[in-house]
Amino acid sequence: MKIWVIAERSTDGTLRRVSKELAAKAAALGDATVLEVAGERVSAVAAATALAARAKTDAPDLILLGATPSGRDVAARLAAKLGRAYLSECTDLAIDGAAVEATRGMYAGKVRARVRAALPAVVSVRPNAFPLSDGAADPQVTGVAAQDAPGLTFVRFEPTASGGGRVPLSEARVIVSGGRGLKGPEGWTQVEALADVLGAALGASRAVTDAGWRPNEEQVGQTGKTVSPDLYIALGISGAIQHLAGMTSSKVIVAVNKDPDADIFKVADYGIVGDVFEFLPAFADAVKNAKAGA
Amino acid sequence: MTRLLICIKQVPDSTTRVKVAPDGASVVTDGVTWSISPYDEYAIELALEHKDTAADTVVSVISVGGPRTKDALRQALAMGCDDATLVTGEGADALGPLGIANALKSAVDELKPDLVLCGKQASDDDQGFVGPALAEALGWPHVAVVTKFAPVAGGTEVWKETEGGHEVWNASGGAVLTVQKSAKDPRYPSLPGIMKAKKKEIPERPVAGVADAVKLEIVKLEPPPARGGGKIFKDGDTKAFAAELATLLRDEAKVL
Amino acid sequence: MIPPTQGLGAVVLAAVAILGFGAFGYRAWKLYRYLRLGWNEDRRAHLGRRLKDELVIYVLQRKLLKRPYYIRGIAHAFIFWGFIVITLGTVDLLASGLFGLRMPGAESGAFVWAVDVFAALVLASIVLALVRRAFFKPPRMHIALDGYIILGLIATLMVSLLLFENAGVAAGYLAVRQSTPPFAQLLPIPYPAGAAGSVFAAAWWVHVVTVLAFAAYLPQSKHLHIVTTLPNVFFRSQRPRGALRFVEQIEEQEAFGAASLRDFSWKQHLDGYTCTECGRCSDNCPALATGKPLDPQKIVLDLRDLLLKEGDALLKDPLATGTPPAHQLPTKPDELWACTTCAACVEQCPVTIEHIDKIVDMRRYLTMQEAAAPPEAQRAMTNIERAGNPWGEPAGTRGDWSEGLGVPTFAEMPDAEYLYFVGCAASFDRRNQRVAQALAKILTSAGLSFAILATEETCNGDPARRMGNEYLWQLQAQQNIETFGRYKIRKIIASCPHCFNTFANEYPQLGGTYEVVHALQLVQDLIADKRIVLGPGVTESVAYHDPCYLGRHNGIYDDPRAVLDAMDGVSRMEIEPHHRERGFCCGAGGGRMWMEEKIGQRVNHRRVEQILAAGDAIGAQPSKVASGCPFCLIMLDEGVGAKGIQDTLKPVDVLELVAARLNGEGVIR
Repeated sequence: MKIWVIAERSTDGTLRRVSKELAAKAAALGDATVLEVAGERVSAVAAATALAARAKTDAPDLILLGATPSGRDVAARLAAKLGRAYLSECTDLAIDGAAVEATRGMYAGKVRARVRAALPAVVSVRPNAFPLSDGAADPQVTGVAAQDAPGLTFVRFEPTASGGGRVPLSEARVIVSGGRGLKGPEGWTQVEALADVLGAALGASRAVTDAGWRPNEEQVGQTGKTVSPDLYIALGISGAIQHLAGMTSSKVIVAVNKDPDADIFKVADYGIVGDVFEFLPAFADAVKNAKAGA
Repeated sequence: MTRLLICIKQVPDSTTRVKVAPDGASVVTDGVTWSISPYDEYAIELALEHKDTAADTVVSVISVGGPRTKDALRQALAMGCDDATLVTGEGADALGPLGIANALKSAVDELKPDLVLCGKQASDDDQGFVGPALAEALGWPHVAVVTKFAPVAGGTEVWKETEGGHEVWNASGGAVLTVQKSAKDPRYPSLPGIMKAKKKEIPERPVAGVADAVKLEIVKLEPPPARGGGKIFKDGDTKAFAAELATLLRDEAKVL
Repeated sequence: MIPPTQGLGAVVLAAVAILGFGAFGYRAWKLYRYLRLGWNEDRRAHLGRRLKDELVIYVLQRKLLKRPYYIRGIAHAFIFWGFIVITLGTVDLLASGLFGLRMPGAESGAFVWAVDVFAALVLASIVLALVRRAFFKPPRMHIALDGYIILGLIATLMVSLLLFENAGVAAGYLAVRQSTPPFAQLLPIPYPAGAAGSVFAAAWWVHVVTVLAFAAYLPQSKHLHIVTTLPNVFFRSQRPRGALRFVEQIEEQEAFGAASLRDFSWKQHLDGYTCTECGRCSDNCPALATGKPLDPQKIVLDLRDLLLKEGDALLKDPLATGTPPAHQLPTKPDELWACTTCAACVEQCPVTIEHIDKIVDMRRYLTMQEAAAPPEAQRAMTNIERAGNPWGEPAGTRGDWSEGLGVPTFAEMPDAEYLYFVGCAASFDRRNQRVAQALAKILTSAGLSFAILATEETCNGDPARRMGNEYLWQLQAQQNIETFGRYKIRKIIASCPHCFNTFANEYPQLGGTYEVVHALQLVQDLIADKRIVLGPGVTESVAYHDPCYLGRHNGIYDDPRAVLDAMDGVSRMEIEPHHRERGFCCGAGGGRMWMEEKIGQRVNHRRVEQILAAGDAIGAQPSKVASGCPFCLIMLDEGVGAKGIQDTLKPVDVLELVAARLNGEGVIR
């Protein structure tokens, strides 16, 4: 069984964690090769063209990519080029004879599906699907030269003016959201600290944006944004329908509120009845530890 | 004049509670409200915004599916699209992503749009495959997670959302753009728009003969867990709860 | 008394009369032609009710005599009644002056006395009005020159009237057997010999010429309401107040709502002519009070001014549409969208102007024709279309609130007597689910035969209709009417006043006629009939907040209060002075529940301040504020949260208090 992993690098040049996770998984499954497309601002077409050319000779049975925005983009184009099945954003995967089986979300993540496709196939896999043992060495990565993409050239990069590089709310996988229970704009120092640890976007209830504690763009709810992240952490939010209407399709909801009768607990998967300001620093530390130990 | 073609998919509305059918591998379609897939709606909005500024733009929509897909096309017409095409026939509902891409390709060859738009993924299979696959079938480049496009001398500038900002790409000829959500909701149709859309002829193209070799098989679907009945920690040390929660989120919920 | 119009005098009088009435007639004809630029709405049905309105509202001045306007209301009533009597006197004066004819009964002592007494009362009222205008400037009344001119003219009329009477009496012009009018001779002026006759003649002429000047001036002035109130009251809408105008065969129409002067009906333009600029509508508007750009009086006057300005041009060119009303310009939609349709303006208007209809007509244009409703409103409408509720909660979860309560659905119990139509808020909002559960418990305890529709229920359409989307309302209403018909439902209980209102007052427009009752009316009956027995409860002071769609729109003020009064331990507090027909909106009506409120203070925050102020005034704060509306509850909850007083003032629904006393606990969570 020949398996390719298409690796990706972070902006600082190190291999992305998901690439390492996939490399380890691929090695466990069979004959693994880790490739990366060399160059900056390579379009998905150009990357897919280069990889497809190599795949013609190398004939891998399974091609794995991290389900990052660019990984998904390359994976789809590559699968189309090769005329193969494509399984996107899988959270696990198994080889079953001449087929691959994987678990992935469907219906905007509301349904968990077990899907199966004949090999050869292209699969993009979510980060954290496979545990990476501590201190695992970086796999050996072979560079592949990108090919030209006719008709498409990179022009420039437009950095987002504000937001400090935070993920946009509507597409975030993790959102930390604050309500009136945070007592005032000062409360957000700690919320932001937690969001940094989680790599999360910031949200707010309408009461908070109405009061001017946070900018209106951060409002989640009926009159704000509708979000459906994997993890939604509601801090000091009571759970009025105006807010719930914008976030109940989140996969996992965590609520922290000092009022045990708060309606937010009725939709929470995990709830803590307690003081938000006691919770915040303790939780930020715990997340750091949990991530380090993952 | 710019011709824009938007490929849309009709999916269960995002407010519908998806129910798994007794076979365990499909969803119940009875009583489901069907809508245009949300990202496709944003693609329509993006195209119509372009039309708002450049009046000679022609915005067409196309979809592959059975007869009820016409409702989705009418919705697009009501929003302000100029014409609609339905690719239909036996098996139209069962096509895989590559099959849909092939079906759309022959329509694109005929309709000759300058750009093709679609949502970055459909909200039923959550794949994001058809857009790039259509581009491949056409031999065009594609740009994913697009939030904006504008014609410039020598092509079209396309804004692709990435970490910390946007990559701006120039497409010199035809391209497929898969569209991201934008800050502005897709427009609500005017009543004259709705009435006009009701009367509009929607030409059909046969889906027959489309190559559709590669498919995903759904083995099993697990329904979403019901809301409520979560683990609530109370009457204790909040700090200890916080630590326990982090572990649960990592190991049980797997969201960290 | 003999008119001093012999010879040349009669000719002069005739000339002045022709000038005065001519000017009046010319202007009136013009105004009538402008008015007919509006579309031809039929307002003839219900003749009996129209005559009764004329008596109660016009003749008896009922809508002027309202809290807190009693004194000025009485002053106005005297001016008005005086005006009627004196106008009769004027007719007599002119008739005798021009043609030597006397009005029947004009020489009777009673009539002379009546004219005299009213002249004095009017004069007194005018003085009151002048003092108020000059020294106690009303908050929103336009202090225009126009008002002083009119008051001056009336004062001149009265003084000259009393003077010529006085002089006439002194000159011995009194008719045979006539008793002397009392006020005219209060001041025994010592006329030099023969002078009384001259003074009489002079005062008489001043009086008559002033009358004619008044006639000429009237149609240029807001005091035209003296004339236009008569038809404006007669042709007032006979729809229930809570019902908006139905758009027939909406799918066949080409244009929707009001975008130009021609898109308003003639009656809407008559409203403009009739506005007295008294400012009562504005005084009571919750949007204006909290700093929004909406001013109901300004909406009426802007339309009137536009009509006066562009009427000629529009009459000349039947294709011209003129300038769109300012409120519709894309730069100024905030005025229209700020309206909560709470009907405080309509309630207070003494001359039955229909503010909400104008605002909704303009919203209809924005929403249906231009698709230019605010984005959050559009989202709410999309949600209604797709999920059957404005929040976009999954339609399949609509019946989930009733789990474990043994509440049957119609599918399970098709012969249930009552439908409990739960409504979107109580179906999906966790807070209001507790209210639905409370009502279910009460109905079960009373042994009432009822069922719900669960997932077969869908939004009644009220929010869409009030956001200007008549089409979506009709679609939703048709769907519900179809469902009701399938189960042969005749009786409906609604715990939401908006559901109640649209079923009771609006569904008949589509042929859906039911016996509709609000839960609190029903509960009041159940208590009175002893079908439910309330146990003891905690002692507490509960303020009652009137929901607009129960109170002002449907006149249900007493039932909820009676329910509160029937509860052991509850002492009811009124939110003085904003209660009953002066109740202050929570801010959620008119679809505002689903819209942003970024301008000024939030209406619900003001409402909470009013509750606290009312408590301060009596030196005792209530521990709860009870209402009968899910939107009020959501808004009040938000309001007390914003003020940080959620631990001392708890918003509840009256139904929750009742349910809590059913098992004797008397405590609600």
